[in-house]
Amino acid sequence: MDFNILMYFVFGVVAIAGGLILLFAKHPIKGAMGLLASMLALAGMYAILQAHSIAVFQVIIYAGAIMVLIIYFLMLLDIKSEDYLRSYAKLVWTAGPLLLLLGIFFIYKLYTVFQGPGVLKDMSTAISPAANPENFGGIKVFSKTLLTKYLFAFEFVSTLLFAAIVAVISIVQLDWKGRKND
Amino acid sequence: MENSLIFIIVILPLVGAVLNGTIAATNAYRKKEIWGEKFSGALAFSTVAASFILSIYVVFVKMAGLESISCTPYEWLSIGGLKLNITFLVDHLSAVMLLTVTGVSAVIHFYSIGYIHGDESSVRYFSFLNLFVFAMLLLILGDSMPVMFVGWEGVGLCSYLLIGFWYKEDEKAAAGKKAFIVNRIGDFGFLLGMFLIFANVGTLTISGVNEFFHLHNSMTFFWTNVAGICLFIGATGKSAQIPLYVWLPDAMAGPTPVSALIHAATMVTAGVYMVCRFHGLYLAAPIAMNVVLWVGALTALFSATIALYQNDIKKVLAYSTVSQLGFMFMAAGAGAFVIAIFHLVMHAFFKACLFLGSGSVIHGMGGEQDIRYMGGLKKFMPVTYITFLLATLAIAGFPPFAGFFSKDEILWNVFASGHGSKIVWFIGALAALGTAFYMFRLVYLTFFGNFRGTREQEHHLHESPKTMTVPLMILGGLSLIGGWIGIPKLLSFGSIPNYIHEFLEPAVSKYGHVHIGHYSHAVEYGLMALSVAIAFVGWFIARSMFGDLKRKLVDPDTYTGIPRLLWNKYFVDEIYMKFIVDPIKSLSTNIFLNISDKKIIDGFANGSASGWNKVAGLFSKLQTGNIQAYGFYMIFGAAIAFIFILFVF
Amino acid sequence: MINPLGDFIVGSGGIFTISVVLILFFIGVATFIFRRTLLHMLMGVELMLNAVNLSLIYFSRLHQNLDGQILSLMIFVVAACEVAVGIAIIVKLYKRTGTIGVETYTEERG
Repeated sequence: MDFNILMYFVFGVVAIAGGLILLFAKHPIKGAMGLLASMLALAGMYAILQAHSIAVFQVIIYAGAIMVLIIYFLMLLDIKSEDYLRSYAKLVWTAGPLLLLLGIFFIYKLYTVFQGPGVLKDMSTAISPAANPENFGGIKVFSKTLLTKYLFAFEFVSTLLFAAIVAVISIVQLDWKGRKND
Repeated sequence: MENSLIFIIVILPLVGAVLNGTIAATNAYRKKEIWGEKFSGALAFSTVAASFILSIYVVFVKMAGLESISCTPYEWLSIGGLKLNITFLVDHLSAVMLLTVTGVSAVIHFYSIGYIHGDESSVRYFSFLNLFVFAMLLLILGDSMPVMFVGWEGVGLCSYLLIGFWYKEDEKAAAGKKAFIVNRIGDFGFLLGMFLIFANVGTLTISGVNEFFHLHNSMTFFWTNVAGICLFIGATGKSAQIPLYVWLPDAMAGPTPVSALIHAATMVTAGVYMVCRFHGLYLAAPIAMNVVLWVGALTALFSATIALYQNDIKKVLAYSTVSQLGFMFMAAGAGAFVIAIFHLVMHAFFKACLFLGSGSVIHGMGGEQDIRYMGGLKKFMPVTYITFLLATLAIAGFPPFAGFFSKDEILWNVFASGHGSKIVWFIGALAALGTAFYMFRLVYLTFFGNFRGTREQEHHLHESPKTMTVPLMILGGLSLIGGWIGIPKLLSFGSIPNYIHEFLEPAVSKYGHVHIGHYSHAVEYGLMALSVAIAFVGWFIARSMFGDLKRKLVDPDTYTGIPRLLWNKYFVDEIYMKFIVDPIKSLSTNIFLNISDKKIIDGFANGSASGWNKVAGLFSKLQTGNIQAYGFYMIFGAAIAFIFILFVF
Repeated sequence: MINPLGDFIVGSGGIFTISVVLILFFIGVATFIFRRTLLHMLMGVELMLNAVNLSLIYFSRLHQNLDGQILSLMIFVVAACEVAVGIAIIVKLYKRTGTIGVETYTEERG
């Protein structure tokens, strides 16, 4: 088997494992570590899928900023492990099986869709994988598309970021000198 | 262009009614009089007077030489096989009615201005009066049965509103209710007749219905008789014949001009008009005609006998109205539709005059209506006396007054027509005798002799103001000369034309003929002389019994035997109460109220409400307030929707 | 560079990828629903977003279309903003009530 395909599988399994750790770990920091691992594995999958820029962004933004922020505040807010054990009986026993059922159903359907005479099978003949341009997903092509075809979206998300900054500041209620008014 | 004048004629009283109604409502809302009664009285009078003048113009100028003109302001509906327009048709028959209704209404509106002066709700009065004229015009001029029925119901409604005008007194309000409910029973018959006609003829326009009978000439079907009788039941309700006349005496609780207008001149004649309108149907329904004839005759005699012993001046006139309507139906039942309408117009003149005169008397007596406490009023109220006397001479049938020509022709037609019968003639003659007698009894007891009332009443006696006496004079004059439009050929020896005959004959003889037996002129003259003799005999008996100047009061509660029966109106009201009203009341209360309303319907409504309450309770358990549960609901719902769209479709 | 995945993309690779997406997504949902801390809920949301990103990238590779990757970038940005604001809110709530357990913020209803 091709090395890439093997790594693809490995990364996939790691991603799922990380999620499971997040779900079941008692200590939240352990859960956060699991999530971090999952994100890094996903970055790897992106890279194998030839979305190199996105893989890098995943590592920098998600793993490097967002998860760091979360872990910061997990440590800041000094959570003891599971002060919050309560009986979830009602919710777990109703929702759990339902979710499980949904998941299994979707995966089953997925299998049949992919195997059957469906859309995805027909697409395979339309795309010839060999015709993959070598710069697909590289930063040059990516940024070119981003800044020409999707220029407006690019500019627009900057306003979103701006709004987020303003929101955070107003929530925290900083005055303009940067001090907090508590 | 001239056709839209008809629309204006009809709509003017409605405008007056709406305006006066708004004024009344505004006055009540603001609790002070913004526009007074003079304004509303003038407004009401002017709308009706304008209608009258326009009617004269339309009938005599625009319709000269034409058979009819019509106007269709609105296309009402077109459902399946039924196409209805609101059409107003002025042909010769409705022209006569139109002039009578608007003319007499105008006079009575003028009288009302004086009569209702000082009443706290006079604006409301004028509004209702105008509304009544509008509804009556709809009835008369409507070319199709539904439009006529709208007017039919409308006059019933206005009758209720006006009889119960002083609704704060219970018995007056009850009289209004009685009128409306009894009317409604008759209306049911009218509706049945209308349905029968529509089912068999296919159209509901008057001209269409009469055309049908023109085509199927001289054929009679079973359903025509049933329809005729059903329509006639409606007429008994509206025109107070047996068995639905009981509301009319009670209706005297309303203001006197209302009695004059509605229960003498216009509304109660609607039944007669309807029968004449459908002469095609009735001529093809001999059984129904016979019913009309006999019911009319029996009612005429029956109510004449009751009137002999009544002591309330208005009640005498009420029973007299019932009796005269019986005469009109006798004529219609004998096939003499022209004469029925002729008598209708004459009756409008003299009966309105009588009622307005009685209103004047009551006004002068300060509200007293019992003739036992009157007497000798002729020197206090000369104008009232003279007009009252003129009208009485007319109703008794003295020539050359108005009632003579029409009543005599009725009796002649009943005698001679193929649809009439001699027995009915005899009944009619007896009723005429009774009429003359009780009317002169009324005159003698009211205007002659010594005054039998109290001292203060005597000081209060005065002639009524001009607004009340001028209408009396107009109507009294019409009672004198009104009959001259219909002098039969026999009396005038061909020199004076019989206007009313010539005018109406084409309108009512298009669809069928009435066979008049061949009798010699001698018989005709003889019967005419007999009519005059009957009038004289009636007057003479009345004079001998009541003409003496010293008359003692007799307490009617001491009557026994026949007087007691007549004084108590044959106990008809009590019989109805015991055998009809009370059983229905107990049926309604015990079965419909207690069982089906309270248990079934309320139980169902409350039960379903509490059922849904329980279901809602179940659903409210989903609202846990726990945001994670909500998140789950969202995801789950989205997944289900996704599955549904993708994999089921 | 030669295309690394080739035919694998279309056949069983697709099944695998989408399975991973689904499983990750449902794990994210489960974390969101079943863990009793506000921060766990936030992490669950992040996991869901990542799963969707994977799906986007996969399909962009399948159709040789860069649009999916651009959209994925936008989702990154949105996720970042949302985490920032969410953390701010959580901190405020913690300052107010001293706890970040979910029971405190549940209003009993129904």
